[in-house]
Amino acid sequence: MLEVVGLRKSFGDIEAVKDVSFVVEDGSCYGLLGPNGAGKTTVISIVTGTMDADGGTVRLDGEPVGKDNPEPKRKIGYVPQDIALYSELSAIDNLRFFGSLYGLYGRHLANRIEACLELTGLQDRAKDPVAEYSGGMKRRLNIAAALLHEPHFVILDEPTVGVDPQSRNAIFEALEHLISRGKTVLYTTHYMEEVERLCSRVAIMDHGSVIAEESLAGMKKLLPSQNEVFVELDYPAYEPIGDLPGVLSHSVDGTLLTLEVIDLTRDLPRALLALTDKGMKYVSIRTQESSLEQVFLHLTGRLLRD
Amino acid sequence: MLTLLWELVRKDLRIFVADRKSVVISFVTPVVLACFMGYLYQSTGKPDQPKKVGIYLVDKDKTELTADLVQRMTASGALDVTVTGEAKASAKVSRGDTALAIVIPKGFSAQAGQALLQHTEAPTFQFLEDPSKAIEVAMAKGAIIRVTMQALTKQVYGPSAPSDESQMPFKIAEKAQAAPNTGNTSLCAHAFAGMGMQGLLFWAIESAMTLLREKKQGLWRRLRSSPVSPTMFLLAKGISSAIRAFVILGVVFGVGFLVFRFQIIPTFGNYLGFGLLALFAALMSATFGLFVAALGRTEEQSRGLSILAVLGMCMLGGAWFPLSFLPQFMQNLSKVVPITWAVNGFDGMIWRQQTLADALTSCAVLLGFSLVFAFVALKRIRWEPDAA
Repeated sequence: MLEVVGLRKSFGDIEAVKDVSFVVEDGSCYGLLGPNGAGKTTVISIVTGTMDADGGTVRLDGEPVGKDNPEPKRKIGYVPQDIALYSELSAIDNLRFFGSLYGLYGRHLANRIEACLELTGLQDRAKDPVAEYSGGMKRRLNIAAALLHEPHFVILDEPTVGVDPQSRNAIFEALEHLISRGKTVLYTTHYMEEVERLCSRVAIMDHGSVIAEESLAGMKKLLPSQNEVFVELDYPAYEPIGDLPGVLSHSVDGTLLTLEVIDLTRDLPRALLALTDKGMKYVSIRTQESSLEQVFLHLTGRLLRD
Repeated sequence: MLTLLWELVRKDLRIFVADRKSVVISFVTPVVLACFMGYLYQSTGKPDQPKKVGIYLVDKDKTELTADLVQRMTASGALDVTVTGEAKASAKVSRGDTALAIVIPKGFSAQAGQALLQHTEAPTFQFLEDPSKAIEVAMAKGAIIRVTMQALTKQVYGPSAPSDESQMPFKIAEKAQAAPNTGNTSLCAHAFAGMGMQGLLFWAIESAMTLLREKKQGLWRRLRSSPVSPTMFLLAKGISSAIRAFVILGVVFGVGFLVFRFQIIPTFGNYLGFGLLALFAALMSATFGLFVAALGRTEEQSRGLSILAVLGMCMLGGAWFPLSFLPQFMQNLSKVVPITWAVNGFDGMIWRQQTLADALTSCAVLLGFSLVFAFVALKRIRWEPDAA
């Protein structure tokens, strides 16, 4: 279990991290979400022991994490935001080097290299210099380098930045495989859909602070309206529809009626009955769950990628 | 621990070998420069082809003495004399076609003879000099004064007076304080030592720039997230850099030994001294690279300053020319430059007839510089990103 309590870090006059706290339970995937410059990478740098905090504590399985404490570092597999690879060397040579940093040698190292290359789908290009790899392949190798020593805890700092859809999918599959095997994952990103696909719990960071910390389901409940319902009518509504029970607001655009409801089970049947009573017929109904993007917009007043 | 250290060193060596262009430049640049300097020194120092200094002479006196003077200057082997008019002589010096012109004034012969015998006022020999050719001017002046005194002595005291070197009442025995058979290769060896050291320091700058690039790419952050200590990373960097520098130095001297035929004085002490010097010079350049990386924040910021520092060290350390060319205060100052100790040490082992003890002094100083550079690197290197 990773416990982060009251973390603070400043660079000169800039407070990059302000009193950040969260807990990542064993076997879970925890998302750290926020726009660029929110302070995610600084938090990760402190959690991985590459940077000292000005205040607060980080404990991994009860042990303090710090620059000069090697033991917790052995349990962590860190995938940095940058491509931290030697481009002149082949994938095998890179992995051999990173494996040696964690005390892996000989046959065991060779087996681990093979397994990690297979997991990331890079076996065919294993002997080519990394300089000849595409951006997506480099990202995948970046991940492979972090998994060689079979860490219990994997930290990924925006691992899909600048990646083609095929590589992104390969990365997700590799991560889902890790999560299914009980690894604990801390994942930072500014892509909502990635957190929604991978994580069970999320902290949203903005301007160095955690502005919300919840389970994925709980996070969506932070929105006053959590569901949108799109009702396709059989003909355009020329007159105002008037109040609909259980509906927070509605809008009409031709034959498309958009409703906002809090609880689908409780409110939608009542709204549909009211529509029928008003003589309206619908040809299709589609619902859309609230997204983290909406949550972020609701909490900060800005879009995540602003 | 040793296995890890070897893996870290091996990674750096693999990266070095993988970049073929960089390998070629690392070896070829100092070799080409050293060969160029070697040929230059070799041609100026060849005893069978003495280099004459060309001078122009204006004879306004036109006496038997001045005719004898011209004949003696030509016969001296040091001067190539052209007798001409004053305007042409002055123009030749101004244009840089010649280092020196002499104007012998009218009445020179009579006045000079009297001045020698009766201590009357001496006539003026006018020297028109090119200030950019101070060495040639100094050589020419020495030869001119010598032959003038010989000609005057003959004129004043008659033919029986000792007026050339064969008649002098003493002899000069010349003995070079250098290893036997080194001949004119001593300056070549100096050029190879100097250019080799210059090559190592420039290469050390490139290594430092690579380190700063790695920092910028986030590799340092990644390395620091591993359980390996910064001291271990720096130790490995130092060792791998020293190995590469040692090989570069070996190749540079190897070409010198093959092409210019200079040899280490064949004693066990000199071979050992040469090997140790190469080792400590390589160590010094490796730690210098770490030192530059530790002091610099970015590649752009550090490159210019470090190049300036290396050029200064090369100039002051006698890498480009023998230290004797420099003024005394600069020669004293050169003791604080590591290159001085390396180049002097190599000179000592190759041709100066120095002993292993002399080499060990240079080695100790180079080790001292290495320790200072390594200490500063360890203390000052910023593994943390400037801002995450």
